[in-house]
Amino acid sequence: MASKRSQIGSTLSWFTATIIIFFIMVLFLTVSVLDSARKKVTSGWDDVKLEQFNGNLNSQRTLFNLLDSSFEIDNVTMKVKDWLVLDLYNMEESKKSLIRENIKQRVLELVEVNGGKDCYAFQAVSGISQDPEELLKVTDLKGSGYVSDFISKSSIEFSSYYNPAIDLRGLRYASAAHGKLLDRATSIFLIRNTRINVFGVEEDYQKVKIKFYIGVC
Amino acid sequence: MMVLNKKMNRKAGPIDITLLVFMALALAGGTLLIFYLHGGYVSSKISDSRFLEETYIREGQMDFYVNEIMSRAIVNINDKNNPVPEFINNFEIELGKYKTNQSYVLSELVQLENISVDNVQFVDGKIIFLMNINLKQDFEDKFNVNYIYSKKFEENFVKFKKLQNSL
Repeated sequence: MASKRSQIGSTLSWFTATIIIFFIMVLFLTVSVLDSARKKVTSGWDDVKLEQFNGNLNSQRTLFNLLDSSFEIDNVTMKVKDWLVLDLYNMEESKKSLIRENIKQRVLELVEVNGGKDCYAFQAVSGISQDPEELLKVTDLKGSGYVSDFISKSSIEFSSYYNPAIDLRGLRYASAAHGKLLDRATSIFLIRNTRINVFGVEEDYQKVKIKFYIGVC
Repeated sequence: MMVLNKKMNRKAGPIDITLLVFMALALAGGTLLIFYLHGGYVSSKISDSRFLEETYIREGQMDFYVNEIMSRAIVNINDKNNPVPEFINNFEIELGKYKTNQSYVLSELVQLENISVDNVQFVDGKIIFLMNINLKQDFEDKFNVNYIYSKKFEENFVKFKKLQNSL
């Protein structure tokens, strides 16, 4: 009889203890969850996409080497950066083409050194501080023809997608691919020693904006 | 006396169960305390080399512009024995050419304004320009890079003058 009584007492003690321990565990779990929620480092809106900050150090180093290399046209030898600050707008198309081909040749040599599989894009625009694409976007329809003509006369441009024998459909694709390469390009400004452009005299000195990309396609 | 002890024992619970409850309480409490105190080690600091790559690109641009400005600034120096004041004057003029709508093509170029004779030396026919450059970048208000470097730029003034005279 005494044993039965003690068993009841013991069971009651264990029962109470189990309930208390259960509540301790619930309390522990609640506080842990609340504490961990407070220390959350990242989620959804807090994401930072590093790809958009990813620069192109290799393109920049290659561009500096390219700008310091020299070539000769009509018995005149100058560095690439000196050829590019000439008056591109009023330059004869044949001479501009020679400059383009010489620069392209040097870029192709660099591509060969890297194994020949790299894509490249080069754009030098003289006399406008904005991106040509941005400028065309903000220009109205009437002025866009004049602006695109100005850009084409004031620039030297080529890329690995450029092919003179390309058809219209291919041209659209090549143009889009060329634009994508330029989006990944590094850029630098060269100063032209003049304030006079086709629009007259400006307050600021004219600049040549150079965009260059070399790397994976 | 015996009756009193019996009454007290009846009210007292078993020691092992009481100990178990208190130990469970201590364990849970201790763990929560550790979580609370050491929770600060879960840091939101993020290190990524791509942040620095962007800064190195700006460093490359800055060095390129300074070298360009220096090579242009030495062209019109007449005083061969004391070229520093003329160099500083020419440097400021050349620097101004990098402005578009009152701001520089690279914002850090503003640090080159008001250079003094303390930054420029003329040693062994070379003009040496010393500068501490600070590159700051904010990435969407979440991260920032503060990169300070010292750089010595050199232009061979005497060699350039000889070349200029021979042409």
